[in-house]
Amino acid sequence: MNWERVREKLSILADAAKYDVSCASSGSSRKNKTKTIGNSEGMGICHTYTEDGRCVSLLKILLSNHCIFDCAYCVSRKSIDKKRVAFSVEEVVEITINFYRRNYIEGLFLSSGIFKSPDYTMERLVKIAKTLREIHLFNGYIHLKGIPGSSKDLCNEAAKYADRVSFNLEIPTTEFLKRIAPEKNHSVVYDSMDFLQKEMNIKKEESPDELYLPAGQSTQLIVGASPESDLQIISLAEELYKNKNLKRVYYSGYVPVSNDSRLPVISKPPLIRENRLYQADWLIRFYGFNANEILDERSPFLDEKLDPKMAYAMRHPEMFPIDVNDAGYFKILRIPGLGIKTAKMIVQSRKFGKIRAEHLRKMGVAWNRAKYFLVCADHFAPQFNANTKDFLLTQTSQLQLFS
Amino acid sequence: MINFIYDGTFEGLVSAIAERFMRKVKCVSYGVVDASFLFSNSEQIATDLGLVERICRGVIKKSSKSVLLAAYKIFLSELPAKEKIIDLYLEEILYSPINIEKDFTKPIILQVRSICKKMDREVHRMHAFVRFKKDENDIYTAEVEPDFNILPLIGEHFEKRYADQLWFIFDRKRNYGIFYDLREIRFIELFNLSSQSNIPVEENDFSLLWKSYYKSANIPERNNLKLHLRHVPRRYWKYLIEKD
Repeated sequence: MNWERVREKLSILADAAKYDVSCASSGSSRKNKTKTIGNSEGMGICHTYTEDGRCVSLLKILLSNHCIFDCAYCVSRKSIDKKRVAFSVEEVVEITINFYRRNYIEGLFLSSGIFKSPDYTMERLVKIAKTLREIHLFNGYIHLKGIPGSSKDLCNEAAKYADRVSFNLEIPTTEFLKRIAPEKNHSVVYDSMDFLQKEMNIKKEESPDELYLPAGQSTQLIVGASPESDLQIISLAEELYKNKNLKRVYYSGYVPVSNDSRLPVISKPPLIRENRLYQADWLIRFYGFNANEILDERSPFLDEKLDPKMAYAMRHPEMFPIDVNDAGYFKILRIPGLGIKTAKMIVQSRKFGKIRAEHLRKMGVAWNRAKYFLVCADHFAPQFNANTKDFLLTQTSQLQLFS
Repeated sequence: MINFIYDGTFEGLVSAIAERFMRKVKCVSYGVVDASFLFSNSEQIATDLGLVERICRGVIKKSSKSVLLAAYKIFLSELPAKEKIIDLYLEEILYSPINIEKDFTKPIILQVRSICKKMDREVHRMHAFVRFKKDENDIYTAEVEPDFNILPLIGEHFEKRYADQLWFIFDRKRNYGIFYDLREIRFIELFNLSSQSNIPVEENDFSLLWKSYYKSANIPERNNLKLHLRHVPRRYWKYLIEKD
């Protein structure tokens, strides 16, 4: 390897890839049955974190930052004057295997600018995955970017070798996508998502032991580059989870990278809003909330000062207080100040006897917040008054990390 | 208060605890070496592997494998009160009329859970932060200084993942390591690691490449030192190549 040249290419192509925030290396079931290299089952691992606090789990690179498209929000768009480089297939394979052996990474996240055509680009991405799997017998995690517009055959090939494939919607609604990235369109993305979903279902029926996209699909929505409301964003996410069986939706706060007039002029990325969206996303996936419970037409944006679960509780006093010795698991999950682990402990422990306030405090319930919303053997929720709301606003602690 | 001396191993401790159960005495303390003969009420308890196996099977039957694993994790935590905690835990599990391993209203159950959480977090951190360098003998070598004695808990993960390469992880705090020879894992005591291996020059190129990647992956507009430190506390930076 020409080390200096490779280092230069890696700097450029890693820098260009970092705005695709997908970072998961979990959810696959690829065991090392061959006693060769790599094992990807169960939990993912964040091998390090960058100074912006984000996890580094995979080698996340573009194969090339050449691109024939000119999407306004992208650092690699055609019209920008930038050094354009490309890796060879061998270089990507070599770097991946060597980083993996040294425990720097869980695997590879490979995307690319579109050079020549979507199919030409996708073919080379698939070739890299195939080489890793079949020649190097690599069982580490591979996430391949779906190039929008590539053929169904190539999608199918990708699913045979990758653990996850993602096609990014980027701009949540078609109306604004057309204005900001006119060369892209959503129907192409949805076509590919639907095709893979169908193939995955067929494969599950016909050959359940074969590994075919074991970690499923994901996508990304850019937050703050276009005027969609949080309600629109989380409704879309809910639809993707329920009807298209996506495993993850990522929300990427828009980082101003261009002076294009089609994009808003902002001084810094909307990190608090992004954080609240992830909290809302968790409520949908793990806490049994519907999108229209979290937000509605009257309040279509998430509260900056309150986390969405607390905001819900304050808007629906009629649902509380909840009796922890009596209520079902999903009802208990709605109590502000306690999460999934604590809810499970409560449900498991109450078989042995009535739960009291001291038990809840020892289990880690944020008592100062939770006490207004629950009942237990020796505690009844105190009355909610005007001062309570102000008090609760001072109790939220998560935002300290983003102030 | 009798002082039971055991051989320092987990099996030795379980033998001593079993002895207390059998004698039905309450006030017992556990120690490894009879450091001062001031305590004439010290008694050495032999390790009985057959008895230990019976106890372990009893624990699993009454509750689950997780309980046994939890007891082992507490042993590895190196807490000064570890013997007392394991004693109390096993007693509660074995002598309660029903399986109370998930009764989180009991302080001992919560305490065990809390210690296991700390151990699991350190294990997960080791899975993440171990950085190998290939030496002149093609052995991938790494050094760590974990908060707790977690080396016995991390071997399986690395064996599954790096099944086709020789590797060695050395705990510099505790002066021993685990070595995988392509067939099994062995525990190795060493007095001085640096004399054992030489790192070839090419390895430096990979370290530089990784540092380069790490720097490029950051988005400066999102810089957040507090969040960063929460995930990667400074005490781990010593053996992280990217933090060099």
